[in-house]
Parts: sequence; C-alpha cells; structure tokens
Amino acid sequence: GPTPRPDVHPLPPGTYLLYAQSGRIEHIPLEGYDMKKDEAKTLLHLPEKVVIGVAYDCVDKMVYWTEITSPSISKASIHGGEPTPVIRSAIITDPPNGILYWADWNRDSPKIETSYMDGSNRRVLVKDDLDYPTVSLMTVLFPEGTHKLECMSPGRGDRRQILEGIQYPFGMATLGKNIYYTDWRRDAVVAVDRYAGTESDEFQPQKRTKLYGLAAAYSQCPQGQNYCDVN
Amino acid sequence: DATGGSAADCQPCPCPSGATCAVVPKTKEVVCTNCPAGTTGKRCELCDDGFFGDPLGQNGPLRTCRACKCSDNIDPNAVGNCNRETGECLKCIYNTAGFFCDRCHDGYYGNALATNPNDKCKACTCSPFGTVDQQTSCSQVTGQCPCLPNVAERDCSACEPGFYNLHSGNGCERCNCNPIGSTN
Repeated sequence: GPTPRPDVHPLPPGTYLLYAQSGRIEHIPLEGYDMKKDEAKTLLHLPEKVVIGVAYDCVDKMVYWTEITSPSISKASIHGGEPTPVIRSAIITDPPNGILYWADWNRDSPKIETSYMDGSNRRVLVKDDLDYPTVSLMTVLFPEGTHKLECMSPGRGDRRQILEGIQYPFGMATLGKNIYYTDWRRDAVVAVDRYAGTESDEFQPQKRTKLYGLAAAYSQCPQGQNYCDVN
Repeated sequence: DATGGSAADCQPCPCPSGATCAVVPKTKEVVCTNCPAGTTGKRCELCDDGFFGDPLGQNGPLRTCRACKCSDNIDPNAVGNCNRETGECLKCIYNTAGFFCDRCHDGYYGNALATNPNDKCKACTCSPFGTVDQQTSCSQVTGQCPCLPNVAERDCSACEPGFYNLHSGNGCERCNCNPIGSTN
C-alpha cells in the first residue's frame, strides 16, 4: 500500500472522536485513524439541551460545548463530573495558548471570533466572504455551494483551498492525515483522507437525527504543528 | 438498584416503548438513554432540534414531532429554527416575521409567501421628511408609508403637484404662484 508521509504519526492509544447529537455528547474510539464503530457510546447526557458545538482541551482533559436553549459555552471533565458554565455556534480550543475560537452563523454577517479561555480579549477574526463558517483546529471554512474546505492561519489571515467535493458538513475535526466531519445529508460522521482527497469511512449512529459539533479528544496533546502545511 | 435485595429492586424504565434508561448516581434521577427517533429529553418528552410537538401529550393532546413549519423562510442550515413544543418560528429570514414566518417584518412590505426570495419582503424606506412622526413602517400589502399633508409617493418622498418644501417636516406648503405669471 502507500507509504505514510513523514509528517503523519500514528495516534497514541486512547484517542476519541466526540460528537453532539440529540442532547448528548457521544464518543467513538479511534484505532489509528479507524473509527471503532461497535464501541461508540454516550459520554454525556444533557437531555434537555440542544448541544451544537463540541471542543476538547487536551491539557486539562475537559470537553467544551455550546448549547442553544440557553445560549452558552459549558465544560466538563472527560473523566466525569458536573458540567460548569463558561460564554455561543461552532467552537474550538487552542489549549497551549489558552484561546477559544467560534463561528457565528449570524446570517447578516457571519463571522469567526476568538477570545481567551476565560472569555476576555474577544475579537473578530474573519468576516469577509463567508457563508456558513465552521471552525476546526486549523480553521476550516465552508463556503456554501462550493462544497470545499479552506484553510487559514489565524496570525497571517491567508486562505487556501485544501479539499473539494465534501457533502453537507456541520462539525469538523482534524487528526493527522484525516479530516472528520458530521454530515447532515447522511446523519453520519465521515472520515476523509486529506492528502488523497478521498472519503475513507463513515459511521452512522443508530439514532437517525442530525449530528452537530465534532472534536478529537487526544490521549496526549499533539505537538505544535501547522495544519495548513501540506508539504 | 439491583443490590437492594428485594423483588422490587429493578423497575421498568419510565420511557416510551423499548427505550433504555439509566439512574444518575448523584441525584438518583432516572433518565431515558435511547429515545425514539425525533424525540429527546429525560423522559423522551421533547422533540429534537428542528422539530416540534408534544410526544407524550404532557400539555394537552399528544402531538408527534414534526419538522418546523416556517413557510420556507428559514435557513435549513440554522439550528433552533422553531420552538420545540409550540412550533413558533424563531429564526425567520428574508425580512419575514410571525409565528410561521408568514408575514413581513416591521418596516418591510410585500408577500412573505412568494416563492422567489427577491419577491418576498422589501424595505419600506419611508422618507423621514414626508412621513408622519418619521415612522419607518408602512402598509404590509401596498408598502404605502403614512404621509404628512400634501405629500405624495409610496415612500412620502415628494410633494403633491402645486406644493413645495418637503424638508419642513410638517408636510408640503402650497406654492401660491400667481396664476397670471405661471405656466400651469
């Protein structure tokens, strides 16, 4: 088969995908980049909430999520414990730098915003040429209609296409060579090999309803890497 | 609690047909863990996001969960489009408003139910000089703004023939031209 690229590392054991569906945060264990579908289980029940965005802080092993019934960001330990309220749509974390990013699907002016993890230093990062933004650790943008992924460095602000032909993504996570996204056309978690640019797998939960945010929960924090670099 | 030692230790889940349940250790509360399609909540009493109804009939007759009905005036990509129980539309777009996004938003006029978004609701854009109390809303159907005396046009932006001084803010004044020296 194809040889792995030098910048693709095997994942440490105990890495998961987390996704939100119908008032729950579910997890799928990963073996390498493969989803162990038979072992998918619920991590957190929030039965009266509509959980939308999910993010993971690998330093403190905390899950962050947004929910729309009382617009807010909350967090809880992945090892169990009471959820605690923290700040609103798609969110991601950058634990080494203590930064949160989130996408605001305000129809008149969609934008991507950022703040420190305590909510201070809030500012707008991107607001031009966005239709339905979603964010991932490398900041992935989804201009509706074009069905392509773009990549942007928060510091430099340059945007570049990395993938074309994706279906109807909502949440998105990157992990080594793979991009995972929740798809609203199939109600599934889809895995895409971003070097080959092809879909490699999909997981369709038993419950057929929309899947929202998606995050990768690493067993160990990944070393600093620039996801925008393909070469 | 199967360790209690009595016949009543295990009780059936208080959940709709076949849904599993679990006990929250801290609060001893029973929560359904596998609600039927389209439903959610501790007792599967709520509809999923994007649907509305009363699946257990808790507040009146039982209503199965149905997709939000918002006159095609919502964004299918949006979340929280309608109230999960009443179905009231919460995120009307194309400048529409109302329970079913079935009328124009204040300050807009036209037909909220038109098929082409460009034909739906247009801004009133009432002239602040010619409109009563500088109102911004107009007739929902015709788009006519409420004009001050002797002011004309849908948006109250001009004086009627024979009148001038729209910018007075009190309506237009008669020209009082001498009929002998005027052309009309």
